[in-house]
Amino acid sequence: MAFLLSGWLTDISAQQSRFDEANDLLEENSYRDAIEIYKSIADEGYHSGPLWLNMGIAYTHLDSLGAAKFYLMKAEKYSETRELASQSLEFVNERFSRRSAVLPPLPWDRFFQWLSENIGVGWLVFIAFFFLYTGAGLLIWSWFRYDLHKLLRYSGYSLLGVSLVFFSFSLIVNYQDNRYGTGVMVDRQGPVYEQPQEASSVVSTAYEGYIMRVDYRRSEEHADWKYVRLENGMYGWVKQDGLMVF
Amino acid sequence: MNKTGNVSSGLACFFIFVMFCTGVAPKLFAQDFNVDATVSENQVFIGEQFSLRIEITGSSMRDVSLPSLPDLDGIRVLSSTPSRSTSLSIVNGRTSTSTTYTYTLIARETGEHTIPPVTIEIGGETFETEPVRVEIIERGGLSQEGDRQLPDIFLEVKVDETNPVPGQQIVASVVLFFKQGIEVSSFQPTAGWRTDGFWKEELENIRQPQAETVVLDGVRYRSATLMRYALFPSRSGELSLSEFPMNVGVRSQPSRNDPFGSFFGSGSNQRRVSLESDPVSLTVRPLPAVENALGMNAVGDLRVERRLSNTEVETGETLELITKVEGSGNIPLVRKPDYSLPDGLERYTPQESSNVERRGLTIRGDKTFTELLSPRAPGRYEIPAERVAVFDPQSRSYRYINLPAIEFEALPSSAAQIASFDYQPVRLQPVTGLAVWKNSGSRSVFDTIWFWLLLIIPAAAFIAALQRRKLMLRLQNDKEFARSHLADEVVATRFEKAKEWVDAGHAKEVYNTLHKAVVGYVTDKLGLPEAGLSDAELIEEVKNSGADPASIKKLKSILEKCATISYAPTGSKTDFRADIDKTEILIEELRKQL
Repeated sequence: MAFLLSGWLTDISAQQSRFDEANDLLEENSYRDAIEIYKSIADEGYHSGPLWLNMGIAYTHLDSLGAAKFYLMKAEKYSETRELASQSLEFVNERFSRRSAVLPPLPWDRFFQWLSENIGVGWLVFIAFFFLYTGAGLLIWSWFRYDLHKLLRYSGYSLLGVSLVFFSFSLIVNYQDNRYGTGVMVDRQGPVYEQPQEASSVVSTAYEGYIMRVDYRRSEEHADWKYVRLENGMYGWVKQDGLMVF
Repeated sequence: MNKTGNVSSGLACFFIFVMFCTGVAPKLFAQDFNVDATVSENQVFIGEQFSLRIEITGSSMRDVSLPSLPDLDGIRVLSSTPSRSTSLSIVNGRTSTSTTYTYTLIARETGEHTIPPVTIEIGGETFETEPVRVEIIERGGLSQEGDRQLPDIFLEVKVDETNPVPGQQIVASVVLFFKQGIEVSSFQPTAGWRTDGFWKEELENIRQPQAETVVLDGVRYRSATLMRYALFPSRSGELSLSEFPMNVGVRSQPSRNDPFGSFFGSGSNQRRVSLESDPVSLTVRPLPAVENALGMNAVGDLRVERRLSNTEVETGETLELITKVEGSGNIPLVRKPDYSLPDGLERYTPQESSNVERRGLTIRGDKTFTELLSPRAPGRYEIPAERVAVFDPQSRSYRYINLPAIEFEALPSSAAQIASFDYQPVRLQPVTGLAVWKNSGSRSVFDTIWFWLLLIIPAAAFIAALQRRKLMLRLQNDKEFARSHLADEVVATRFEKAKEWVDAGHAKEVYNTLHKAVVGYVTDKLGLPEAGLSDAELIEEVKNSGADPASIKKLKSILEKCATISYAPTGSKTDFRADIDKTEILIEELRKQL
């Protein structure tokens, strides 16, 4: 255990040391060098709010606003960097010359998105288990307590029902998390095609910073292409080169 | 002017005189002659006559000797004296003469034969013709059946490769076959040749199709390649070329002296026939996978090079990344390699231009891809080295070309500096110091073992509780079952009680309790009334239940002892405990049997 712990600590301290080095470069305005180091940390599977935030800031200085938005949105998902990332995002969004019309998502889409972003599958499953165990306990108890039989039985069934609802939520959120991703346009502009072919008709144009929902499952069928839903509600195919997805 | 002209002609005469004296002029004159040997048929049947024509052409014909025929292997000369014909023509004041000697030969032996160079002396100089190839074949194939199967004139599309890979050039030749006695005066391809799945390019036109003799199914035909196309398959699998349609003008009167020489000539009995070739099928093999390189769909003998238009550029301005593919191959089908470019470079839609040449049987040319790049921030940029793959159809493998890395410097532009004042992001504060690191290798909750374990536990609890509930209900409702189920507990309590009596020293009570324990256990297990049964009846019931005789004997012994000692209590505590132990063993045995 001590050996494993020391190995883990060594790894963490190595990442921290490289992160510090990249931060120094960032302060010296060597943005690209800093980004290289940040990327190497991320490539090794480590991530943190400050890492994404600083990458977003570095890209902002390089005027790669699409990439900046992408990393700032990632940083926004960490409690420690949420506020700073939101401020930076606001700043970056102001700099885009074109903004997409936004068609509000359907209420249940918003609800599940909220669940995904604010609770997460892990907590939903935990809550579902809590109600499952409590409900099962009450139901079993009702079989042996004749005096409280009715009360215990109805309470048990109710809690099992609540548990089922939470399990369903967790499954839906998990499905959506696995099927859909968030893409940010990083090219200055790119056409959105009706079919995954450049000869296909263009349904819309996506500009740098446009956010879109990427359908992983449909995109699997065509290499180099992503099937997306734009914020204005249009669906189409974009080339994945111009897109960053998380 | 006249004077000048006279001087010029004088100088010319002087030079001719000098050249004549130095021996140059005779050689120039000698080079005027051209000696050529041809045969009427390249493929002849054994025993068949054919002719060898030796034609001498030149500006003047002086002292031409008879050709000297060498010994011919497998061919006999019918007449050693050739027939001779001479012609004279004057074009634009230039006179040319032609003398033709024709020998009649007869084929003697089958096989490939070569007529060696024929020597001829002209003006004291010796000239030689090129050797001529003749194939002599058996006559057996010449049959009526052959006549019936193949028409007098037909068209074929021949491809030089039937198993190409996508992008590989193949040459499709449109060949016309026609029998002796038919003259072809014109041909005109018509629309309707479908080459789906191919990129098609017509090769350089054949100005004067040359006919040669071929034997098909024992029948002599003349064949002439009329047109050639370069085809490039665009996908793998089974592909086909449709029927090639063509209108051909033919004359039925042959010209004996020059069977195909009058191609496009005029004559009587002319008619037009519409011909169609048979469709051609090809199996296009898939290209092998590219290993650690960028694919660009390049097939052929192609070179690839890459360069930048500038090594310095101002931020926001553009520079060109030019990739040039050159050589012979599928130039128009080559795709732009998808380079990975460093961050901070704006990439605009690339432009491409190509130049294709159709010379001979190959498609050559170049294709240029020009990508416009614009650095977004000042600094030194490096476009990383790349490795691109070009498929070589000859070796049937990829040839990899390394494109070295290219660097350029982006200088700050004055406009950008001005803009950056507004843009200094005061709100963009990086986070430094200790960060909370997480590893991104997390799995979905539903893929973990603990999720399924936690799901199984309540199910197991439900099953266990159901069993328990069922037992309790039966204990409540089924008295016999309840007695049998609780017999072990009851007997254990009674044994405890007996042991207490042992400690208290009440022998009579000990054996009364033991008797009660044994009788109670047996009646509970067998569902008999607790009271009213004698020991003998009890033993009989146990016997009827199929218990072991040894156990029955022990039961009888214990019951007798209990009955005896109840009336005359004797013995020590050790004996009592021994009897309790024996009874416990008996009960243990009966538990398994009842």
